[in-house]
Amino acid sequence: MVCQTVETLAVDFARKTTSRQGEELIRGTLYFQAPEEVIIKVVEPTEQWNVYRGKDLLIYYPAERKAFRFVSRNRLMVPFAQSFIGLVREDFGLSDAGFLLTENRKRANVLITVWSPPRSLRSYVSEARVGIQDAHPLFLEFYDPRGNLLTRVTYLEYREDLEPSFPGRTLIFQKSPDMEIRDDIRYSNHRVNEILPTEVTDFTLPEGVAVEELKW
Amino acid sequence: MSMIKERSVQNRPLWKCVALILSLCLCAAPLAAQQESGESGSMAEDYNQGWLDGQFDAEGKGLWILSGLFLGPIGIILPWVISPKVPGAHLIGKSVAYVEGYTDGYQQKAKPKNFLYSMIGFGVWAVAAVAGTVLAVRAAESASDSCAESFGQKCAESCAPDLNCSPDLGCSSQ
Repeated sequence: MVCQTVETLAVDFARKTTSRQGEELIRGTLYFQAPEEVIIKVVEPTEQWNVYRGKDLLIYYPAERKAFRFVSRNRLMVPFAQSFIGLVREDFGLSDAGFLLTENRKRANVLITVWSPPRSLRSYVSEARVGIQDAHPLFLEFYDPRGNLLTRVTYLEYREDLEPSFPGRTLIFQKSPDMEIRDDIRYSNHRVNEILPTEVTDFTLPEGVAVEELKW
Repeated sequence: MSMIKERSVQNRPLWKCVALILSLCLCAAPLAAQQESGESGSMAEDYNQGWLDGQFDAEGKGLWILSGLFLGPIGIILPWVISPKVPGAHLIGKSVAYVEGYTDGYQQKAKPKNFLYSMIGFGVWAVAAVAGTVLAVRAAESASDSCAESFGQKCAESCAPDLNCSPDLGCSSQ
């Protein structure tokens, strides 16, 4: 099982998003540095840095020399990053996000754990479910207060040659009354516990960059 | 004359070169303008799409109802002072113009909705406040009536018919 032994992680990704607006392809590299820093460097279709640090999100555009800083009261729940970063935590980061484990059950050879959300999310989420098979996370689901599926993340094509192993592909399904979004993300060039590039570890905004701050 | 002729002959390649350059520039100008307008058109398109997506995603969080309910008139001011929450998950890989449109559209949509939710809460608060006031006044009036009634009755029972039973003087003989 993937756990606290992961200090750093770098992986290239190609994300295909299908929604009512059509298809969209995004390429880049995802970096993780323990305990909770995530940097997503996008190279296609535009150069963009997404820096997640706890409750802050910074989006930086080098070409335009412009940045947006979102400051949140709650821990960020970003499906794309969360679905992958959750793998480096025993509880997928749910405890840190305020979720409480309420139930364990087994279905065939899949262990399912059920989590209740923090009070701040109960208007939107009634529970989270995690499925584990053969010590590998199989799926992560979120349900709304009426019991309807909101988000499902499925982990596939595990890289067993890596220690610890990581999925080579995740499928993310997000649903609301008015729309559906499907993400198909393929990962490659996994680098576990290797030294991250200095542009990532020492990332700071250059001087003179216009920053727009927004409460999130 | 031969010098002039020679000059003419000597300058012809230069003029040809200048003419060629000018014609190239004239041909390139519309293309450059088109590209520039294409880029600005693309940015406008991105901004508009971001605006629409931001408006769509603005849900006017129900938590704003609580601010009106417990804070009365102060709660109504809050949605216009504190920027509503703007999710960032949809912004990965998007352009600057899209992010600007998204945040503008989201905030514009979310603030009135949050204000509406806060008004609902304030409405409940106001009704509760008025109802409480009315009940308090009625209770006070009721207590006053029963007190006067009981005093009058007591006076009539205890005083003789020939006695003056005015409340402020008490019972006294005439």
